[in-house]
Amino acid sequence: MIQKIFYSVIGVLGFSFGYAQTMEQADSIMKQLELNEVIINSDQPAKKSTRFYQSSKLSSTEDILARMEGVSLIRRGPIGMEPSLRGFSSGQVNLVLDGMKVFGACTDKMDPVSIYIEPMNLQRIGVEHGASGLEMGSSIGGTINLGVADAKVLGERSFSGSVTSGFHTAAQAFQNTLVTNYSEKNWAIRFAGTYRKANDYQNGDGNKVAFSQYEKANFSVSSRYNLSESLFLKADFIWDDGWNIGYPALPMDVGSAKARIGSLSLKRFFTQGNVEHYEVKAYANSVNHQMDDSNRPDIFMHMDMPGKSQTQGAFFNVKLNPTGKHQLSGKADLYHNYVIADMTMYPQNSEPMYMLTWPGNHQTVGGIYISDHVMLNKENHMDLYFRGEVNVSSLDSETGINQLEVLGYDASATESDFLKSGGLTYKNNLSGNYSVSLGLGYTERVPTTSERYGFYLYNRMDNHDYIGNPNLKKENSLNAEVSSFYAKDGIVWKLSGFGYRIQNYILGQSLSSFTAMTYGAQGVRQYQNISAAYLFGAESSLNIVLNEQITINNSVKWLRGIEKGGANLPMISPLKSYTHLRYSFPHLFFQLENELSLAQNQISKTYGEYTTPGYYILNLRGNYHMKLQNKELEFSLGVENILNTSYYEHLDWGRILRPGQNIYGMVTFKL
Amino acid sequence: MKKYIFSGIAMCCLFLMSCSKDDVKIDPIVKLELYKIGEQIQGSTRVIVWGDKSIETGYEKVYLQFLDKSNSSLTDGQVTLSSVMEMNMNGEVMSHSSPADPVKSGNDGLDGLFEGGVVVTMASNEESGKWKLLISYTSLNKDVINFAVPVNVKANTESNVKTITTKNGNRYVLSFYLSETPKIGVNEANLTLHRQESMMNFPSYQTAEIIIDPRMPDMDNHGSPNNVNPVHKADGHYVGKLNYTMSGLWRVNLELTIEGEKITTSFDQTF
Repeated sequence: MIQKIFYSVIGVLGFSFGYAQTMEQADSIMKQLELNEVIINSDQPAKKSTRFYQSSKLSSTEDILARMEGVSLIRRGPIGMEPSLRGFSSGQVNLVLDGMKVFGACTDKMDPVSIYIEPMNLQRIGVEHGASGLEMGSSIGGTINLGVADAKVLGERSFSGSVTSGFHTAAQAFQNTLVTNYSEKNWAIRFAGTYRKANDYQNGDGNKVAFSQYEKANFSVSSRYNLSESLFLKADFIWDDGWNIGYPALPMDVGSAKARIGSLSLKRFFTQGNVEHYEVKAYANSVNHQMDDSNRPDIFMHMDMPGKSQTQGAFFNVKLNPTGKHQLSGKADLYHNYVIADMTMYPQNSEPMYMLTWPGNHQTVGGIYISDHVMLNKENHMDLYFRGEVNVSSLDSETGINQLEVLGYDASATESDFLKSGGLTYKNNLSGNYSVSLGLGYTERVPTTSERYGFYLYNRMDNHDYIGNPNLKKENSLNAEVSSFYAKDGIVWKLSGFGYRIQNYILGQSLSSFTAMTYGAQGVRQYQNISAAYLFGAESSLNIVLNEQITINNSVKWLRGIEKGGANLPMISPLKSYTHLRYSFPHLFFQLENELSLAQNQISKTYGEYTTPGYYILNLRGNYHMKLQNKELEFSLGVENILNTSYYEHLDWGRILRPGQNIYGMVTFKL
Repeated sequence: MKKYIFSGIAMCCLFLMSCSKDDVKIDPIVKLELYKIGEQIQGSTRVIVWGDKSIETGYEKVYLQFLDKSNSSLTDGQVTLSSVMEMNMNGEVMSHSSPADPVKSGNDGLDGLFEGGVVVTMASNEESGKWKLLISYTSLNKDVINFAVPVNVKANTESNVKTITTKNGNRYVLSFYLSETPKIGVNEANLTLHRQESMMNFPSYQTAEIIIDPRMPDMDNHGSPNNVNPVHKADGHYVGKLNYTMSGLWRVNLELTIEGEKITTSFDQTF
């Protein structure tokens, strides 16, 4: 009994290799590439396609995102990396958790929502570029949808689980994860917990990177009650606490970052009638974030910088059965978000100084989404989508409004915006092996709290204080994407090309008559609209199954970003290629990986960028699983950056070197 | 006997009338939450000097209320206000004045109060200096009553009054104050400028040009945008806009052009 409790089994992780046929693999790989979705913690080992995204069970959500198509990470610290989709980031990208909106509470972007989520909370990560993610909200860069793992109702009493423990040498980091599922006839509850701790890591030069430590704990509870075969209720809760998190590229660290996320949902399926299913969900979450400079040796002046974000929302989505060639789905959603952040500075000999960096901003957003899946004929289909959204924003703080009056703005009135976005994707199966798809879209987004109301927010990258602009216009984007899919004889290849023209692109422009607030800053910039910017590029995903043992996967992403007039946009990744070669045997596999990046010389000096040299790194991973008295045991061992290369990526702030050689080991027990 | 009854009835009547009048008259004080600075009775007239708070060095707005024997406010008449400080220096008594605003009559002013203002240049001192407000009230029938109300002046924690000397040797009194308590945001800033013509005479100086530039000495001289330089409004008062981006210590730097000469000075303000 005790054994049952401590050593439990649950579904496998992403890299047990299946014995599926080549075509089945190809099929599911195709699906994955089409949907740009990664399955995590799946319990269907047999039908598995190779998963190169989750390189180890110890990967963070960000590690997984980094390997997905069109995703790059902006790194200010070893965790809390901000996802960038094809050059879009921050307010241009929509990040949701099972459709729920969550907003970070840090003015310096140290807490993109992915920092509060661990892979073991999730079963799926989906990335939609451009207009195809409109179901989840208005954005111009696309949507990242993190799908929360469900409790599994198994129809009978059962208890399963797994415990994983691992260690990394580069940061002397360790991590423990527990996932359990308890099921009765009609209901089940899933509990998962993670604890991670890392010290300062050692880079490729052999030096320790100061202030790169972190510690965090996360647990999630997910419960499901099947009222009938076609109706179920779910209640989910995620609790995440991070503390003492270092950000070597920034002047401050994080003292504490906490998120509490909860939701209730109901889903109903129909066996007859017009409706296929509908879902209703209500949710609430709160994030509290405190920056901390007490560990930094030569700070000019100590400051407290707390922030908080609270969101409540609900949505209803419905999918109808096909009628003729059409199949409609719709969603209506509503949420309210409140953010506020301030700063108190303590000079040596005078009174403390106080200001609101984010004035209390209430945003209420309501939207309607409609999509139609049209089967033109057996070979061609088209998806049409449209979203209309109303966004109402008002400041509740007298001080916040007064601060903006100093800048010359009257921000006391409620601001409302109407957003309209839409698009279509057309897919044509040219032959059994080959298909093409074409996507067009038009999207809009409102400026963020920082962009509208931010007050002297320091940007380390260009060494300027940034102030908001309540008169900012919405950004809008016109985009086009062409993809081709080829699948034959164990080869699956997706090739895409895309282009975006963004009007009223928001970028900081210098204000010469303003003096900076942050000590040592060069000046003050204000978020303003420039007439246009362009982002275009290409992505390739190639998967080759040579035989039962050998699989090769390669993905390449290339991106170019320019302002109208030709100046380079900042934070654009150079060409990157990931190649993986896997040798699989019944209980064992080895994977050799190569990550290659070209130099980035197309930079923006205006925004504080430097050229970044190219690099390549090699990783070797191994995994062995065995059965021991009805229990499964899995061992992972690997070396990342075998050659101890000294490198950093272009999107890494401060040119802080990434970890050098890192040896990791991991054990998993499962029932 | 009749006299007593009559005056008794008259008193009652007056009392009854003045009761209702008093309700109206006392209201403005209660409404404005004013602070009593001082008072004096001369003959049958009482003067109460009200202020926004106790008098401190710098510019102080005062509200004068004149009450007759029956405690009803006298709103008609002409009032003048000036200040005098009597100093005891080595056995000799010297006195000097300080700048003051002309008094606005009761009919223009607030509900029966006469509005005036003084710029107090130094604090009261037990041994060496005592301030008095010299008030003269001329009624409609040309009766003049003079008051000399002693007031206690405390030093302001942050100096908001200065003396400036030009190259020609002329002395000017400059004071600085905000119309309301300082806040993060746009503040209405006021300066008063008077020339010291003699020990007792301080006429207002109305033709200075002023540039205002607030900075935070602890923040590497961070300044705020969109300040509006004070311009002369009336009686030596200059009004402008002073923007504070945050709370804490600000140094309000001023560049004044007086008699064609550029003079820089500053006032500190912490909130």
